[in-house]
Amino acid sequence: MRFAVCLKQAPDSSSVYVDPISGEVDTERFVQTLNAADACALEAALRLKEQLGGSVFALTLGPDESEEALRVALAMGADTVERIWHPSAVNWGPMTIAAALAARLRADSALPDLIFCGEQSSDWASGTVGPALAVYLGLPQITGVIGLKAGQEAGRPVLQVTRRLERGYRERLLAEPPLLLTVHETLNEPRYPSLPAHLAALQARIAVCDPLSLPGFAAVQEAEETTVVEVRTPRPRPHRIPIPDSQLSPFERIGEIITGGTARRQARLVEGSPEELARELVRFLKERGFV
Amino acid sequence: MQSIASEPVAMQPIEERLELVRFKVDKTPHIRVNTAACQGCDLTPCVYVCPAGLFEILGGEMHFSYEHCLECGTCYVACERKAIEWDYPRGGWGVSFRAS
Amino acid sequence: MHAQQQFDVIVVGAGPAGSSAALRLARAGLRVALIERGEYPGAKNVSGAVFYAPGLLAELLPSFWEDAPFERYITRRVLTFLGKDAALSLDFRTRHFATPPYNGVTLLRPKFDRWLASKAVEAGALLITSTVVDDLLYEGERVIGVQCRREAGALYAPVVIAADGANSFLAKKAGLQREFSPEEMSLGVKEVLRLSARTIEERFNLTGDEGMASEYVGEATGPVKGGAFLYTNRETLSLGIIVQIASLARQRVKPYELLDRFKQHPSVAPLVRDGVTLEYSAHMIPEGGWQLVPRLVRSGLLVAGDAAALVFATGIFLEGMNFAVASGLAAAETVLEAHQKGDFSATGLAGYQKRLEQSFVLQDLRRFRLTPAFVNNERLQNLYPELFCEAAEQVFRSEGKPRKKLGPTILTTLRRKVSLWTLLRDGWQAGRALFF
Repeated sequence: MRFAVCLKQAPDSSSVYVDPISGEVDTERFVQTLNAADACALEAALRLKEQLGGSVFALTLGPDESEEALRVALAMGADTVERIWHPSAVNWGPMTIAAALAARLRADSALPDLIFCGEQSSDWASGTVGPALAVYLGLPQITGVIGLKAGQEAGRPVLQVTRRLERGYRERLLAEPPLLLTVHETLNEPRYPSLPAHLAALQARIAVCDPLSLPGFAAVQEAEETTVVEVRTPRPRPHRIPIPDSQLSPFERIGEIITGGTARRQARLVEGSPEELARELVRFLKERGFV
Repeated sequence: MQSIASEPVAMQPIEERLELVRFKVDKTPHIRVNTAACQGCDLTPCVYVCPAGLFEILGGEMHFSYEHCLECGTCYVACERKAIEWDYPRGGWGVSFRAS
Repeated sequence: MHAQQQFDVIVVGAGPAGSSAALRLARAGLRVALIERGEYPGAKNVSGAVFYAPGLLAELLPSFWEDAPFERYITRRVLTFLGKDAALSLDFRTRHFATPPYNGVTLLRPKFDRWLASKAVEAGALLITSTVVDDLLYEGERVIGVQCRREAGALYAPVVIAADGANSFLAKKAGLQREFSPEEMSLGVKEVLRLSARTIEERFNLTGDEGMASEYVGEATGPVKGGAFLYTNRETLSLGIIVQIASLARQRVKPYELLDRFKQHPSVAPLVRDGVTLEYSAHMIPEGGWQLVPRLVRSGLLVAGDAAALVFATGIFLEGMNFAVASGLAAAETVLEAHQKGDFSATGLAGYQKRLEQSFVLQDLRRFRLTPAFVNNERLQNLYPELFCEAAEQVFRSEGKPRKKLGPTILTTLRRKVSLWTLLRDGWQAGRALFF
């Protein structure tokens, strides 16, 4: 199987600071990294490659600095990487970016069997590039993937995909390649590369491709797809919570907070005559300090 | 003339300061506290010296978090009972200063 | 062993010490691995930050000042005794510090460290970011490499330079450094405040790229032993306090509360007014001086910079980055020498100690070895600044009454709180520590 993963170098969400008063985003303090959802997309591709065999091709569209994202991809285990760039791409919207990626993938002798994209980037989060790319390539797509398993059916690989819907609903699908998947950043935990892989990636030469030279590529006339009205940080209401155990990992701690902490909720069923019940109820309320 | 210094100082909550700092939090803590050793420690230097205010005594028990650690190492130097096991987080994780 | 994991020298830590060593060694054609645990050099590093004697870089980077991300060059130095409601300053400025390579420059470490490391990379060093070194690798007594916290994380070289910062874990693991006591270590906490370049120039009486370095003792840190600083950058101020860890714990004050108190002191508040806090940071500083400097060499290993406690903190001098760069360069020279001779034993590397002894690095630390104890003198910290301010107030006070001469005015004020004998003794100690 041949896998392709589309990556983006984006500001890490923890480095984004929005001034609470002016609503201004301080771009100077951005720390650019491989977009979290894209890292999960790559990890998913690498795991399938390990299971089914094949090769992983990682590509990005971006300026020199985006090379870093591809180095991470190489270190994690991508077989080949390529950066697509032309100075005019600074002004491209998601549709044109998708068109460029499509042109690059079509330039190979055959399309990859599976294409992975992050569901959305941490900066503008339009979630458009993946779906648009599927359309340009004429591929079926599954968005918001939060579960992925591969099996075989009659000698052909079949994917069991869990997809995230609104309000906590899930959708389970069976799909066969060729296909495009956009991956949510909770799908998996991207691997921490080994030292030899990290060293090799740091020293690798990264190929660059000029999108304007690709056959069949033309910048797409884009409608103004997004209008930014206001940028501000969400302000959740304060909420009193029990103190979770410090020795736990954040994940477990959050679990503790959500489930109500170490003191579990208890229910007690009392049986008896109405008088006894009333007496028991009063006793209980007094004991707990309600009356 | 009225003295200004004797006026109460407005303290900025440490959480507000830490909001300005970039952390990439790993799943496994890089600080471990042998909280049993904290029993009966009334000096609790860690509570005072930590520049991120990560240590707190709540209900007589030591509670700490590692997520907003500035990675200075002051806590383990200050702890007389050597109850704090402190190591750097995994490479690339933890705090990243950008404007200091 | 993969050839890829074999280097001529491994430098741990891409701060000023590590990167200057790596730069020097890579220029000489050695295969250098420069390992940094942060996502980028400077990600974990905090300084005040004034880089004194930046001219140290000139040998490797001629006309570095045209290219280095310096904020301002220091032409104004201020030392202030801070009382509760008053302040007494020594304010010095000179145009002689305004020409390259400058006497001192302010900088921001994430930018500067990245720049310096990029010079090492240009020279051919391999910068390995996001990688923690957990331990050294040995063959018998000899250090032969480092163990990184990654799968298959061993890297080999006949010699390792540990420039891994204040915590100095590698020197401790190698048995060169002991565990720290809270008396000899300090904690620095710092804020960077944004102000316009114009406001900074007007407020601090500066022109163009001129800058000010201002230090405070006394009320700056309340009852806690230590001091405070305020430095001007291009469009930001760096402001912070540096306190002894033991004293902080004893006084039971939180460092960020001290920072708040300092910021709101009547003689500091107008200087930082309207400054928007951009970042808060903290770092440990090995301020123990001469006593704290470890053994610097063992077979296959050299220690440089903060990791070797090469910090010069003596009240009026607060220097570290120049000591880091100088020790990094000395370590590099020694490694080159060892490569020529093919001798990486402790004796083969002994030239490092000698080089540092011949340079300002160990000479300054030894000459001022009494200063850390003097600076932490209880009276100097908590009594004299207030007293000096009171004495100044008595001198300048006009009440329409007959005045005494200055001598009696000052002496009466001082002797209200300290005996003449103590005063003389402290004066003698100050002399021994700083003057002669």
